[in-house]
Amino acid sequence: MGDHPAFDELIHAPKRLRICAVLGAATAAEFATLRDALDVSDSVLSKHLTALESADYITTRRELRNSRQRVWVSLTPTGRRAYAGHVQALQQIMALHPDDETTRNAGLRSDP
Amino acid sequence: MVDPDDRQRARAAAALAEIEDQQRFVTQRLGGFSWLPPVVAVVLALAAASLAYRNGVLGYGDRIRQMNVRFVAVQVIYLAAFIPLVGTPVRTGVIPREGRQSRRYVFALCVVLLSVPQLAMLGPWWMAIVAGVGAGAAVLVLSRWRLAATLREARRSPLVDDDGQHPVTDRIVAVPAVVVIAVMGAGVLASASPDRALRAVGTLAYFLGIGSLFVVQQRIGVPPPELRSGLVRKALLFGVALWIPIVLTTFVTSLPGNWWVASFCALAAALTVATIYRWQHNILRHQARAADPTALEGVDG
Repeated sequence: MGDHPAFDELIHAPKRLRICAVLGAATAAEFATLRDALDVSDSVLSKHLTALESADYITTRRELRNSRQRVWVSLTPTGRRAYAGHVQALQQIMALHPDDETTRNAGLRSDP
Repeated sequence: MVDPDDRQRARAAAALAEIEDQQRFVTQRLGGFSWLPPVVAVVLALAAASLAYRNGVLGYGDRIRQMNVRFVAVQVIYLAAFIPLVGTPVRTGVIPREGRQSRRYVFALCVVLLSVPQLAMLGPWWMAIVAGVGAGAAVLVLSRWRLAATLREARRSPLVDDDGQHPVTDRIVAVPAVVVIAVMGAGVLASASPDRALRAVGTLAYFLGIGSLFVVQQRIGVPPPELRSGLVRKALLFGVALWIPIVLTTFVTSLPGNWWVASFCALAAALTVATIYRWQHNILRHQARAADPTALEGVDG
């Protein structure tokens, strides 16, 4: 990973962290899938997506399929870097306590 | 009183656990259609094996003419299999991050889907059975490996360096588009030749050209969401457009000297390849723009 660890307050908010975690594990995710993952209402999700979008961390794309509009959300390169830096910062904090259960289990491997 | 460091660590631990949960959610979604490849594998095995029925002892070209409807039906089934096997099921609601390894399995799947109907036609009746069983097994194994690679990719760090050396791929990618277009056009023309050896060389050149297009696509990877609109439809359209010229020359110009049809097919193939290159070029430009606005010059040049 080429980026430095950097704790990001915008990402660290629980709902936004979960949004970034889903998007970080995929190329893109559909709005409805994110809503299911977070178990929140459409309006709450929209609010958090708007916050991330205004920081240029995510991008949305609308697609019409079977006369139903689907919204695909993905991390921008800036957002991906910020999220990766945030995860590294969290891992760095945890590295101070290597015995912690979560540190052992968090499967965020950086090796290819 | 709680130590601030402990509180920070507790927050970090909770956040990492949350991230892990979401990764699990994504992998469950991506693995939700794992029942599909076995079903497709059975259909493909039966389709190829059906070519064994009344398979005569004639040559390849004569055999195609003799059983054209069945052969075309099998071709269509194999081309349609691209949708569930190579495309991403929209219903998962997640477009996976595809690494180099999973793209390799996709490439191998494409080779299987393109070559098995031909193989099933080449030899005696048992060749079709062997090709069918082989196709089913290959689809099962490759799909399983691809899913495993995709799930591994979902659990990886959000930023991954993938700058390994790939000399063979690099050489194929470095071949200019105009050379590939010329070789594939000439391949279609040669495949219409009355001479059996020339026909075989032409067909081989054409398939090598298709292979190089796949390799270039493999290097480019998954198009960004902005360009993914109608991706499966586009891939199918390209597949059919690449398939039709070579099938037509095998069918129609098997009457020696039908160079009008052959020339038309060569032109259609050349235009299709040029369109595919244009599309791939657009993806590269888009990726370069997203990464660094100044990198556009390098791509365009």
